[in-house]
Amino acid sequence: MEGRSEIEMEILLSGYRDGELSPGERQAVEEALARDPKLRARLDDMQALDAFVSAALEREADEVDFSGFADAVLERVAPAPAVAPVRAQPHAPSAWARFGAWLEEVLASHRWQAATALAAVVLLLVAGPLLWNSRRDATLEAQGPLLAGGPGMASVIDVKTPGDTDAMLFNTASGTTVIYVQGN
Amino acid sequence: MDLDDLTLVNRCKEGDQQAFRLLVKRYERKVFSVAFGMLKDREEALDVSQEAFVKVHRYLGDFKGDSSFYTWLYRITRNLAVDRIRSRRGETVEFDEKVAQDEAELGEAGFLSTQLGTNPQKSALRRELAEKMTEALQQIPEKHREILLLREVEGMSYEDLSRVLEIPKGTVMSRLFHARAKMQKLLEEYLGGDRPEFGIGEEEG
Repeated sequence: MEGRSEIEMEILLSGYRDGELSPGERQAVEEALARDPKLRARLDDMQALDAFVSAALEREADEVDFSGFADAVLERVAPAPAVAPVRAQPHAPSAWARFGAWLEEVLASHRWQAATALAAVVLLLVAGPLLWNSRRDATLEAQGPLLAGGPGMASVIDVKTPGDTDAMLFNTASGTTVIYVQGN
Repeated sequence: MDLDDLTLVNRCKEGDQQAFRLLVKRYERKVFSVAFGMLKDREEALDVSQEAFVKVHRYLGDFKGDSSFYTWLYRITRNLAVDRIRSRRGETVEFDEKVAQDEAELGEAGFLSTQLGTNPQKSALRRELAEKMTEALQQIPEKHREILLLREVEGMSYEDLSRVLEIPKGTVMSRLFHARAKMQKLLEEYLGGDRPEFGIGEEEG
């Protein structure tokens, strides 16, 4: 090729060998190859070298036993898996953990009802003793068969709760506190 | 039916260990070849190869598929091998393109092809020659060695080489040429006329 040094031409020859030249460059190299036997010999050298480098490395790999290679890699990645989430528990969760998981699920799916009921319980637990102290002498009116032994066995505090539930707090003669929640 | 790399990668991301195992099996030999070509120590090459796959597994989530999986894998392999070389030597390897442009390094045209032939299988590549090849690889500069390995082991395109080595495509062509020129010169010195017992050329008739 006109105006190119020998080095420039041989660099192009390397690109030609690898099939990476533009159409114009490829044509120019082919024309030069047709004219110059020395250039053709250089190309033959490149091909021979490439083939033998590749074969030498393949030969080295042939002498290695790769049967345990993948296992060894997986053992090294297993302690800290980067991608896979832990899907299976290796042991059964404790009762407390199961209760926590259940409670979480209930709260997620019945959030407002659960919040209401929970608030009612908390309110009763807090307010109950206070009200009980102030309404110690109240008696149970006929509300139905709530307690064995009849209404006279308990003092009652009728506490209305928000929403669709009624909560009633009783204190029995034996000192037991009973919370009765009725949904409407 | 063989699954393509991207399918396997996506399954790996979902936690499919078997998919990852298939990827390892697919590339273990070639990754080793690149590592060995860089390090010339079998145990170190195996260790670096394993490390490369471990790193791939760790950062699979970062692989977006912009480039092919194997260019990403070889980039990791090459970087690990280079790190190992540098920690071994405790120095920075200098690269001098200008020195490689000496035309006197080109050697005699046609000598290698005459001595070696063009079919390494037919020419019964002996262990001695194979060792000489890998020795010669160690003697050329690191940047020449790595590009030659990636080209010869994986047949990477210039575009992929450009991505893996993070150099312009024009530099790929130039660097490959100089890598080959240096290797050729070293092998010609070894295959020079004083080794009649070698006789590979005779088999070519």
